Amino acid sequence: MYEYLIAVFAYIFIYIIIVVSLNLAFGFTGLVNLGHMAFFGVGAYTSALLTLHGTPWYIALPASGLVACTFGALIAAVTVRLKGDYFQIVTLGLAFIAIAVSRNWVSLTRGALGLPGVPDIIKNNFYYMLFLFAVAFLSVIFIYWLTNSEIGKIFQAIRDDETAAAILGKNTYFYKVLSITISTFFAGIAGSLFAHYINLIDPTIFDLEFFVIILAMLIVGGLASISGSISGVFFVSIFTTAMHFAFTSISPELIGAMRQMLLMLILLLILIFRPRGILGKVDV
Amino acid sequence: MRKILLGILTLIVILLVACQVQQQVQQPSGGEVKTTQPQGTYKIGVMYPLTGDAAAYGLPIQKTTKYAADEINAKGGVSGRKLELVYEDSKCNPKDGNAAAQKLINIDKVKVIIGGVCSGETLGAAPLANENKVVMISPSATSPDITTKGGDFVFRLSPSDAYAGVVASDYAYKELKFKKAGIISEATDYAQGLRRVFKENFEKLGGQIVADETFNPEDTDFRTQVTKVKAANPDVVYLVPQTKAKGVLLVKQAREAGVQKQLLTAEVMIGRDVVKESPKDVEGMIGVEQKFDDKAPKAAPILAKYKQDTKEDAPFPAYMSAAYDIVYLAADAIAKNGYDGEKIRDYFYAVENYEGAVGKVSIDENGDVVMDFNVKQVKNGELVILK
Amino acid sequence: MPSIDILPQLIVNGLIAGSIYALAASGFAIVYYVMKFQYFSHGAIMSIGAYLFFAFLNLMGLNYIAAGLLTIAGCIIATLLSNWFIYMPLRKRRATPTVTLIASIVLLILTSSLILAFFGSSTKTISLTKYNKTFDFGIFTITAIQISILIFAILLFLFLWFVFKKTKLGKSMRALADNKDVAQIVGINPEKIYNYTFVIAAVFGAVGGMLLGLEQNLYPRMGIPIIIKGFISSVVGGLGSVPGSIIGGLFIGLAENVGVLFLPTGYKDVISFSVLLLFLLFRPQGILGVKMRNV
Repeated sequence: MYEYLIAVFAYIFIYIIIVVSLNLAFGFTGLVNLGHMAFFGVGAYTSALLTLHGTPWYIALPASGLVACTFGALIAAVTVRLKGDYFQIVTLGLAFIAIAVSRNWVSLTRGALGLPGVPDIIKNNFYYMLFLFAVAFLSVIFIYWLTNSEIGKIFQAIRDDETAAAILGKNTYFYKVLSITISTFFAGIAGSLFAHYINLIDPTIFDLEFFVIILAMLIVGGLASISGSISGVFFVSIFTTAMHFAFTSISPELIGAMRQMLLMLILLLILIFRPRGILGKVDV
Repeated sequence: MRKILLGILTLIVILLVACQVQQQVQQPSGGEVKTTQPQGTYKIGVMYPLTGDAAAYGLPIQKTTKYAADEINAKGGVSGRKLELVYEDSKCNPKDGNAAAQKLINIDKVKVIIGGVCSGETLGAAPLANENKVVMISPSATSPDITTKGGDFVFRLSPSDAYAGVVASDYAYKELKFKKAGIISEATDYAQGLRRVFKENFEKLGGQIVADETFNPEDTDFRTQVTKVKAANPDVVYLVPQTKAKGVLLVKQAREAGVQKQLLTAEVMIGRDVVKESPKDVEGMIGVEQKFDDKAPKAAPILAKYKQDTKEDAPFPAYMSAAYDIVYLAADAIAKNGYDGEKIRDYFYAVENYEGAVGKVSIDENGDVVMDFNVKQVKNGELVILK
Repeated sequence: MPSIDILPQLIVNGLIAGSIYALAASGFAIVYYVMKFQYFSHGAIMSIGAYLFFAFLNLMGLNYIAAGLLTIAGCIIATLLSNWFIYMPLRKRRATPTVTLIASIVLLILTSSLILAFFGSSTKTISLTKYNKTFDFGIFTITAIQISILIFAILLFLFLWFVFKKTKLGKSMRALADNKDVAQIVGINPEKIYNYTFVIAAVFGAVGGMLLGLEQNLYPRMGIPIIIKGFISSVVGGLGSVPGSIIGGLFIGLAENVGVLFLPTGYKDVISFSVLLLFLLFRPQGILGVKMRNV
């Protein structure tokens, strides 16, 4: 039972990093980055490739963040100028592109076979979970500090009324790119931590179903609220873990479909009846 | 801010408590989680993709797994106790494979897991199985990675792609004297494993791969791939779809496009029902498959029962029979060696010439199954064994 | 690089694929045009269309006309249900387009599990495909089903043009799309028009799904990749423009199939996404140059 809880918490801490960083861009700056997981994946693959070639983890981990945020910065530089829905659309497209590239650039990613044998950072699961907690803690503190700082206020101003912020002399372009860069940096870090946890990375990390869960965590917790994101991760994790115990008594071939349906129904209900989530300060 | 600090404090307290408990749990049995079986059953974990595209594999294989368990229980179970199958949906990806194994190993406390179906989920769960000394046997994972990266406690009753690909390319080059090959493969781990091995071996033998096209699992329009391969003018075309349905489409479109060359394929396509469905298209096709006879005395009843239950032909008879065999083997292991991970593992390494539904199987020192391969050809609507 | 004489075949392949994409994109675009949100659950409707057609034909043994009409009816019902239970409540609560987008994706996934539960995971083939014939024109080949895809696509697009330009409904839709408030003042009932919009989308979804099912095989998650292509086509053609989505669909279909002349075919998907990316960076208004409105 304790081993199981350790695993549940390990995932929770990784997801906290993903969701809080997404919230930075989405909730605080108003940039709907639907391709967040693409950067997560880039971080995961980077770390896997580096460590499989002998790089020690303490270099691979930050490197993953840097590679992810470099891509993030480049893409942001070109796309944040797009109005409204378009940014959303481009980033959604990014997620799909990531799947295609990871499947087809076989010489780099081994395609559908993925990269197995990614070494652990810490072999003992309990201590690795503590390590994850530490990284999550530091990331959250940093992002919390950021959102409460001058920069954070500018982010929120951009979200609320970009034109006004621009009139007031703020270089909104720069701040938007900055927001995405920082957000994707942490996504990359989370990806690296994830890769070293399950020791195998393949294109399935870019699946739509995985991203929907992350989005659910973000929305359930609420936008523009860090404690909201943390709660969102906890709530949704409890649900998805509970799914492992649901429907065990019905016909075996329906178990999978029923569990997925129940999860989706719950998400729909939340979207319809409480899109602001638990602690959200802004409407989605 | 205060709320966050409070939350973090609570978390730290929880973690410290967990730390303490962790120490206590680890003291007595030196690191192993104690087994607690409710009276009366031996639990066997079953980790298959029950949703997603791979459920097309997972669900049929789940059925035959259950048949085996039901039969054993009807005869009184194992050493007086019934077998209880605990299902988890591993969704054919490593993350969910890992999560499924977490639950099966740490909550249900199983000592044996049947699964995964896909190589990705198997490899995702493998570290856990090895750490916790839980035996994992897959009926269908074929990635060569499992041989090297699977670990001590991971076995499989399906041969590594490394063999099938070699047999196919050997046959094409040596027997049929083809020097130029074109490959059309699906972008999945199974198909890519075969493609890689085929390509390496064919080139090693001296052949040339003149076209190497892939398609995505969602694709059903392969005409472009076919067109390109046709234009490259190979002597033989090696088709590697992931599923029969894709394979049937692929062959159909290839023939429609006028590809008359010799078609070579893997086990997915060289089945009786494929021949029945599109006899004209697959006429002359040669396929390599693990030596599996679906009319064999052990296999036939399972497949017939499946047809009776679902009104459909068994889609993956070899994998479904392998799952059936694994249940029986696991039951035998428990009966002979007791419900202990290491002892069950030892049992599996010692499996030799077991006459299962899937054929005669032995397990080698890597946990892989040793099986013969058949090279079959479709001649006049019938499958003829060439080698 | 393979020789240029496979080009005619590739073009034909592109037109066929493009027609299916265009059908998917049209349903998506109609709803976006009138209701301003990204209607991803259109993929769900298409998969329902395919499976209903399969059920009526294979399982119930009806003839193809009855099956076809019943399928269209079924899809209309499904779409209206999704409006009633999901999209209308969201509108009532003034949900943002982003929330609605996410809800439509969730609905898409939910539908795939429903289909999985009802029909099982094995791939299905519609019995009509037995009667398919191939026609060889020398420089290219084409099958009967593919020809019917082209014919139906053209018919539906003509129907759509007719509705939009020549009917009162079409005018109302355009009015709502242009300016919801003014339209209401003039006496147009938005909810009524939304229902009709969904019905039209449902018809496209049903026919698209049936054709897709005939041309390819049915599997539970089939709605997801097709609506992704529909989405890309719509954006490339001009988001918010229905003729744009048709052109976009054909463009993507052609780009994918002709593009593989130069690239390994595994990269077919990458082609469509790259086209998407290029358009979004250099011509976000799409081929038809639709002005992007900030909603």
